[in-house]
Parts: sequence; C-alpha cells; structure tokens
Amino acid sequence: MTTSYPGCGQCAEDRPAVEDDGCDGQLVHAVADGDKDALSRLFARHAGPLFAHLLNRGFPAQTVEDAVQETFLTVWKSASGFHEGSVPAWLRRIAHCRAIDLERAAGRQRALADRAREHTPASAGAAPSAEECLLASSPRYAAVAYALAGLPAPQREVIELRYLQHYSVRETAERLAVPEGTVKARAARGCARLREWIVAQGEAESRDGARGNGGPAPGGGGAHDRDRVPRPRP
Amino acid sequence: MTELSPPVTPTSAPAPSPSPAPSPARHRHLPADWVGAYARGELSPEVLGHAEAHLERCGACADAVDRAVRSGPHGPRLDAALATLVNRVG
Repeated sequence: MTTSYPGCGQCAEDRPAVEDDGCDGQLVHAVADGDKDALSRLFARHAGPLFAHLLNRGFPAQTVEDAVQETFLTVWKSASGFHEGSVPAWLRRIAHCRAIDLERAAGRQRALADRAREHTPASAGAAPSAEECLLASSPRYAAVAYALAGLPAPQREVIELRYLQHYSVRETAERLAVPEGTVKARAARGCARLREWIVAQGEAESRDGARGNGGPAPGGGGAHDRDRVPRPRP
Repeated sequence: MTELSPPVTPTSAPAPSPSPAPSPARHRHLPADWVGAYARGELSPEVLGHAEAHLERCGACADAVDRAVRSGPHGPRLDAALATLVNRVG
C-alpha cells in the first residue's frame, strides 16, 4: 500500500489507519497467530470494498454476502498461506473463487429442483426429495434408496449431499455446519451400512434362487426381498 | 476517515458520471458518483478497471467506498456477514 498512483499524490499518506491498526500484512500475520481482533480489523478495513468488487462483477447480493463471509473465514483458517503481495488482491481472489463456488452450488440446487419437478406427478404436492427423484428416474437404484431411508439421519444427509447432489466434502461440511472429518466419517459409516445391507439382500436372493430355480435369480429382488431383509439400522 | 476532496476537473469538462472515459491525471480521487455507483455494483464496465486500480492504492477512496456500501442498501448484509463470521470463528 505504499505505491503511489499516477495523479493521486495523496494515496500513500491517505491510506487509513495504517499507523493505528498495523498494515495489512501485519494484520494477516496476526490472524495466522489466532488473533480474532485482527480478523475483525481486517474485515472492517476490507469487507466494504470487497463487497462492492463482487457486486460489480454481477454476483447477486446474497451470494456476495455469503462470499464475503466465507472469504474471511478462509483467511481465518489459512492466513499462514499468505506470504507477500497485496492483501486486497489476495482477498479479491479468494472472494471471487468463493462467489463462483456459491453460484455453482446454487445452480446445482436449481438443476436438482428442476429435475425433481420433471419427475413429479402433477398430482403430487410438495417437491420430492433427491431420493424420491432418484427413485422415479432410475428404478435400478430403488433398493439402494430404500436402504438409504433406513440410515440414521446424519449419515443419510451426508450421503444425499455427497453422492446424489454431488457436493464436495467441503461444501457438504459447510451446508451441514460440521467439520469435514465428520462428513467423511458419516459418509464412510453410511456407505458401510448400505454395503452390508446390499450384501445381505444378495445372499437372501441367492437362497431364494437355490430353493426355487436352482440358482440366484438374475436381476431379482423387489419389494418382496426388501421386505424380508431388514434395512440398515443405527 | 479522510473526507474526499472534490475531483479536479477542468471547468469546461462535463460533470463526471459513472460512464465517462477514465482520466486519472485529472482526478486526485475518484468522483463521488463513481464511488456511489461502485458501492451499488453499478459502475460502468468501461471505467471499472481504472476505478479498482485507483482503489488498490488510494485509502481515502477505499474508505469512501466502504462508507458508501455500509450506508447503502447492502449495509445490513455486511453486518450480517460479520455477525455470522464471528459466530463461526467462535
């Protein structure tokens, strides 16, 4: 912030609060050391211009609000990654990426909602869940969706977001307000339960086939089998 | 917070608006209407690059933008973002 701009002789002197608050670089280093007050000062100094920067790139105001918040959260978590250069430019790069991520996530949600509407009978009232949409569009997943409904809610939510709505681990963690490690653990536990249930169902089908036609029933397994093999339980 | 000085423009020049071509040599600071338009997200793309290059280096203008955003329609959104950030940081 010490470079003067041609035709703007007051810039270096006018840069506010540098003497009072420490320069941007010092604030970022303080944030890296866990100084929450430094984070607040950084927000106070840069959030407004950052907000305007994103608005002028055409992002919706709600996206901008979320992106600004996410930007400073990123700074809080990874300020040690900043070494040199312009702090405002660094913040703008983070904010721009976050705004794009948020817009993509919103686009995915809109697309999912559109797909769900396409697969909903006109007589149905509320929009179907992702699971219902999957059931309607692809019957071969019906058994998995049936098992999914038997999972504990935290695991089911993670699996729906990660594997049906294709959110990343980070996005899933943000949406559920849990750490990324929790997302991974819930996904692993949920998938393990689903796998156990599918294996158990396959074995039940094999037994049926051996009793009936002398072998496993190819492509078998409908409501009959699903009723017999209990769904995974917590 | 330093108050902005009025832009230095020749008397024969038209009043600055969000859309004229940039003329950095004639402005010590960004014109007030550029600042207002920028804070609302409505600055003309033609001058956006110039304005942001100036803001990168001019604390007074960055402060003016900050004040304009906070006092404008999006001010409550900034407050909400800070409140949520504080909650999330703990």
